[in-house]
Amino acid sequence: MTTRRDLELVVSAWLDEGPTDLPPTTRRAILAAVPTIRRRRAGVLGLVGSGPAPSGRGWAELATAAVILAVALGLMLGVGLLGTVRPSPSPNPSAPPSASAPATPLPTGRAAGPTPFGSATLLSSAVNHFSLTVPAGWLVVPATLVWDGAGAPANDAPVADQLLPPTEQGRCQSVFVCAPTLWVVSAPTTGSLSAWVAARDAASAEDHPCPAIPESQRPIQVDGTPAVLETTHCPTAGGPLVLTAEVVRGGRGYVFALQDNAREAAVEALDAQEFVALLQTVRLSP
Amino acid sequence: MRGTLVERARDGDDVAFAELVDLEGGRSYGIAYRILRDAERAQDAVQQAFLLAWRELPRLRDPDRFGVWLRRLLVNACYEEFRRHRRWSANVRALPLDGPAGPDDMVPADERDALERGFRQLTPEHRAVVVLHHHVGLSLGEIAEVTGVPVGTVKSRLFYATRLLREALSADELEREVRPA
Repeated sequence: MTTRRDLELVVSAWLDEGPTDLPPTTRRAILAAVPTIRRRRAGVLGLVGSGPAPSGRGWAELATAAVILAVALGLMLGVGLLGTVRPSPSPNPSAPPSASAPATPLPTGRAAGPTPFGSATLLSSAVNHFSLTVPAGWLVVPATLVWDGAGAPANDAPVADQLLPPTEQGRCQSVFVCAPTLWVVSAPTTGSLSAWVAARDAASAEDHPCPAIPESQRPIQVDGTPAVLETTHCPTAGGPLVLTAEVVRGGRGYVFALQDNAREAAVEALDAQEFVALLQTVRLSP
Repeated sequence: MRGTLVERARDGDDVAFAELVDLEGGRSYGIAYRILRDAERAQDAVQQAFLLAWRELPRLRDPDRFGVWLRRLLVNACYEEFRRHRRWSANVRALPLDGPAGPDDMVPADERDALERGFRQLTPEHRAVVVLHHHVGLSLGEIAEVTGVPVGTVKSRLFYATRLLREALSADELEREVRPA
């Protein structure tokens, strides 16, 4: 029988067998991405990773922050922006679609300076032919390849424009921080919306543990075009939430998708709200 | 030295941040690899953690806490990476039994396989506690700080994980005993 001490030694020795150097490709990828990341403004509270509760100067900062927040909220309410964040003027607006250049870096409208409160950027995808308003603080991983319309690309497929909200403490009960993942793919199609939706459902059932028939389906509009909003869990029993909005315009079929592993009803309701709000900012450019 | 680098990176110096990546990258990758047991996913988690670090660094008030803060980002990135690939991926990649390994004679192959099997059954939260304790050498209190859960939860996770790993090794010993020579 393995004693406690033996076990600890064996586990430690086993864990010691493994890499200790960062692969050069990862290092390069990190450093290449750094200039494209819009940084957080130095927080008024500055509490990230600070540990102890604010004291003295910290409370003064807290009060200052509260005033700023109240003013900002008041301004947003005053101009009707609450809930639907509008894009700040983009220094690099939509580029013309370029189907033949899938690896072209995509303009994401990144500003050089700090992010103003409540601002947002415009993601204009030259691969997937759409634009939408990216809420402040979200990370964008642009698509680098053109999708041929086969299968059901997941969030991290190179054909997907991926949107990553900041992980949020307190959003989920079951894990410390959590956030959904959103992505967009599109491909040419000659079929109708219903044919596009049926093909996507079949592909999801084949490529992923999703049911062939989604749990719910309802009509919505994306950029003034009839679309279908589907809700499902993959797999049905206890699987993560997957929301998709499918739309066809100008010979191009789109899939806007959100997935969330939280498996908490309150979080899923929030996901649905945020997903629909994001869809309202979408502009299709097939 | 590191404190100065953190301060410079916090102020927007990407050269200083690159030096931080060089200082912390290997250790971070080692932790992520051991939690995820997959080189590619570990690279993704490390990348995600460092990019989040760069983005959030202006809000880090105390440079001395950079290490704990980065590990927290890293562990959360590992959780996310673990779940991201469990969500949609029907074709679950087999976890490598023999990643980039050290000396072969440190742990017998049978035991290594048994530990690998046992470890795979653990949630990422349990894996993180095992790695941070047995590999990084953090105390339970330090692990609590990194993972953002109470010390009691860390103890409980370590207890459960240790029991499972012991069971995996015991089953392997039993199998070897009854296996004909």
